[in-house]
Amino acid sequence: MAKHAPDPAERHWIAGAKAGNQQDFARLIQAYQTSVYNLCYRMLGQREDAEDATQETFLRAYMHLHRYDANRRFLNWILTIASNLCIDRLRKRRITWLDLDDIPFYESTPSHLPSPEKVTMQQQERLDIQTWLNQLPPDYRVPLILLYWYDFSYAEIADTMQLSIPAVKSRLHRARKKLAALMLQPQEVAGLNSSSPVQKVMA
Amino acid sequence: MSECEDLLSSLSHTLDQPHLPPSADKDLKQLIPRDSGCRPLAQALIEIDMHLREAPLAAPSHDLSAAILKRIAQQPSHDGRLLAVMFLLTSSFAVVPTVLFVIIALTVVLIRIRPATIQLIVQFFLDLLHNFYTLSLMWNTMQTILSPWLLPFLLFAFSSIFLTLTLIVVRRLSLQPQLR
Repeated sequence: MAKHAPDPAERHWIAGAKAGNQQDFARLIQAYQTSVYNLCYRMLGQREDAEDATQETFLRAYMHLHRYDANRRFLNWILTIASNLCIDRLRKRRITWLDLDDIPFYESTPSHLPSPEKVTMQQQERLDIQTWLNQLPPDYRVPLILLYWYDFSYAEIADTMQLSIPAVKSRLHRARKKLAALMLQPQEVAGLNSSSPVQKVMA
Repeated sequence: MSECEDLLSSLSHTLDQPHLPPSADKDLKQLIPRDSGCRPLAQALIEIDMHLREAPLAAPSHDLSAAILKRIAQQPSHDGRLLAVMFLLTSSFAVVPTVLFVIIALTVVLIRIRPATIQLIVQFFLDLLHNFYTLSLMWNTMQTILSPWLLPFLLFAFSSIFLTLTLIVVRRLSLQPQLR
């Protein structure tokens, strides 16, 4: 398990927040709101949902602050709360995930696409990344997000997700492979078309 | 494991390395055999990695921290929750005498105004008592078969669970900080 003790200032804020100091808790919010919000946004794919999940995450953190292990990195702890919350919310949405293993992938690479305005293309790619992320099962999204947006090591991802390191490696590989397969799909399959005949419950 | 799966797995492992230089994607693409059947998928894997590395952190709105603090402040206070738990516990104990009082009062009123109805109700309760008596006989038989300590044990177990749950709730409430 990855153990990174918080720095002295952070430790001071946590102790203050535990004792009920509003300013210290506000500093913790200020320090971690972007990280928590980004995770929620990448998981849920909608700004309003992400803001609500961020608020709920901090509320839960506040309610369970006495359970926080001071030897653990605060970021890992709060991201664990956020990821569990987002996974629960996604499960409640009862979305059916694409089973990409059954879809024959498109035989050309996106690098052959005509190149429009560079900025527009980059925006489109970002949008696509989020669209593709939205189609991954929640358990696969978390390790990918933690690796790419937070530079977490295998050990840190395992700590955050309460998984073994081989399980993390496996999920990362499968998630990336599924995203690659999605990228190769024609647009009508990659877009979330619920009436598509290829849409199945994820195995 | 197939040759393609081996290649993808090896690529994935390389891409997992922290602080991979931007040129690594190009180098990796050149490593994919040109005649490989899974070349498109392998290339897509590398491109996905590139897009993910470039994706920025999503920024929240400016008033998010204020909204969080407001939401926390809206939570019922710790004293209020303790009071609510105590009220619930007390009221659960008060339910039995209240129900008994209501039954007795209703009976007295009904005897005066509708004696026939009260006769029916009394008959119903007598039947009910008879059923309870039958059940208690069954219970006694079970106790004899199983153990004479079963009933006290069950009573003790239920009381312990109830007491433990109450203590857990009270402890959790008392540990939560009060923002000042």
